Amino acid sequence: MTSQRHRTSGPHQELIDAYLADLKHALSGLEASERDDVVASVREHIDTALSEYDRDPTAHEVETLLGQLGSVEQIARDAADGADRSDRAPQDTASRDGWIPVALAGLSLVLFWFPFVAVPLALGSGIAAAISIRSARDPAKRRYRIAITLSVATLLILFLLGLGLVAGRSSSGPIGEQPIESVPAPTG
Amino acid sequence: MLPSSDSVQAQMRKGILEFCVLAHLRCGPSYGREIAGVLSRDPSLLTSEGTLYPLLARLRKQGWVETSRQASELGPPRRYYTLTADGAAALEAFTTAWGPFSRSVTTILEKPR
Repeated sequence: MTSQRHRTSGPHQELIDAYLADLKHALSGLEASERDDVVASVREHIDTALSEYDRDPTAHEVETLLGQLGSVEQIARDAADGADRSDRAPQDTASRDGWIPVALAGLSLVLFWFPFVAVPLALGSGIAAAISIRSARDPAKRRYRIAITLSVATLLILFLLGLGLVAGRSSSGPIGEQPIESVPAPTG
Repeated sequence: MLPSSDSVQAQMRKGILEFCVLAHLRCGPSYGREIAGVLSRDPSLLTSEGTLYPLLARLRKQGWVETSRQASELGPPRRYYTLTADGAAALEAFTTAWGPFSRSVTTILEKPR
């Protein structure tokens, strides 16, 4: 029975539904998942508060509860302010992160003719970027992707060059193993 | 336009209230209405209980709290918020900075010329 008690009916429920619909509309600037999360949490807050009554709450009590939650405009303003701040803060560091792996991976590509330098550079920058990309946000995430692409390109070029060299050597055969033509013995 | 004490408080709350939520969760998991009840005891911290929920959604997105749904004897199942290791570290950093900062502000406000 207690599980049913938190549900109001009639005009009170309409009041709550209208408040939640207005809230959803006011939060339209947020990402859909975040907006749905907030609306569901506010609904849960209301249901929990109403479940504390051992009778049907009056319209005045429901209005007081919605008043304590605040106007939907106020909630939306606070949500927008908070979203701005949380987006700004990580970007301060994100705006600097990711350049070093890009530079090192680019250098490895330029120096591909010197494999003893290019391979460690490409591996190091590629692995560092792959580790960092998990916790990175844009635009740093994009830079880590570029670094990984450059590193893979360097390693691929070196691999293909190596294959080409090996194939070239094997087709020309080992030095000093040229077939010897047999010379017929002089007659007479 | 001169600021009112309400608008000054609203400005100061930004960026601080989230650490008050984390500080409350340091004592253990808590659900939305309970957190709202604790914070709204002091109107300078929380004037509209509904503004708590976008903040909790952000804290969850940042990985500073995590949620789990638990059945309740009274009413619907409740979403409990728990402090994560990252959240505890963020709270620690805030606590370390807050002491000297608040002392400096108090000192300069009360300092006679």
